[in-house]
Amino acid sequence: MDPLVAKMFAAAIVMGVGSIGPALAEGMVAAKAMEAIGRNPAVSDKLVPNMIVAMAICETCGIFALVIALIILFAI
Amino acid sequence: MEAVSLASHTQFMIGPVPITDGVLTAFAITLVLAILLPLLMRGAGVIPTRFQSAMEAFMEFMLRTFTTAFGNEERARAFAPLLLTLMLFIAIANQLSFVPLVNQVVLGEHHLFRLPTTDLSATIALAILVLVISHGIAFAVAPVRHIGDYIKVGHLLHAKTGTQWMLALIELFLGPLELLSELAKVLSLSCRLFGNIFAGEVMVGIITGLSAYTQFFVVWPVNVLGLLVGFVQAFVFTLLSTMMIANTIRPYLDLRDAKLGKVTEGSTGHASVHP
Repeated sequence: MDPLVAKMFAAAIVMGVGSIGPALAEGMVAAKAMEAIGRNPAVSDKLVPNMIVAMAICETCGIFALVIALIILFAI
Repeated sequence: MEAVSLASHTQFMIGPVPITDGVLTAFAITLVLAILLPLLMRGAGVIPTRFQSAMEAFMEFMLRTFTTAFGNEERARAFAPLLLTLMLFIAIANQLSFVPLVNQVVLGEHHLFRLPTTDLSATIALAILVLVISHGIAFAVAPVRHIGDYIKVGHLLHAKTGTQWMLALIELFLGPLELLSELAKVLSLSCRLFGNIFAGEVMVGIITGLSAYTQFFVVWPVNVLGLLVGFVQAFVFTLLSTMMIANTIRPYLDLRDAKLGKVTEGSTGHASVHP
């Protein structure tokens, strides 16, 4: 297999498998937030900024996969 | 794939130090901030202008976050300039591509400016800065106790029975693993910021390069997403650095304040027993 073809396969597999986890995690965070807002709509002003921050931290694992894919494509 | 290159391009060297396009942009941001902010705050008085009210609301929100992390308000005010500067610099550095013509200035055949946070060296430098500050202050306040947190000989000296010896030895060998976790914190902090902003730039570059028809309208939603991500990531970086500094420093500051007789939020006012 060509090194270039191997690089493309590697980057594609890294990004594909690496996006499953963060997507599930962010969905869980959003689901719990929606539940809380549904139960008590008055707290939604306090809840939404914290939810956004929690999602940004869950996103980190997907970003690690992205950094590895970028290093494979551009720097090796 | 020539959208954005991963490594910065060195424009020239000053002595042994290479000045890359990311460094030039960081200098430019610092210069602009140093000149612009005093001018904007010049009309500050008791009756606030619109800009001043916005800044005050933002300051109060951040001070509340710092007070929760550090314990009392005077410590929060002591650390606030560092953390707020960090947040301001990162927020502006992430959004600089919205200022027109910044990405188009070309010197020779390479771009002259490049967002500093799209350079992994810059984000690692910021994370190492936070690490050095937290451990440096921990050393300055309580040097022996801080080293004792990593090389745990205390248990060894107090051990009496066989099981206690075993546990003390295990603690002695597991102590340096904490150093590894500090390194992991630095890496995760820097990679999170770098990955988010670099991915935004790459996506804009690719969509713009697809065809002449996608250059204006199609790229706009991606740009707006980049704007949102830039602000959120600046806030998350500051929040996590606050947690990192506060978790390292707070036990020693609390002990020192308890000896001096001050009460902080979250402590009982008595010196806690440290094994």
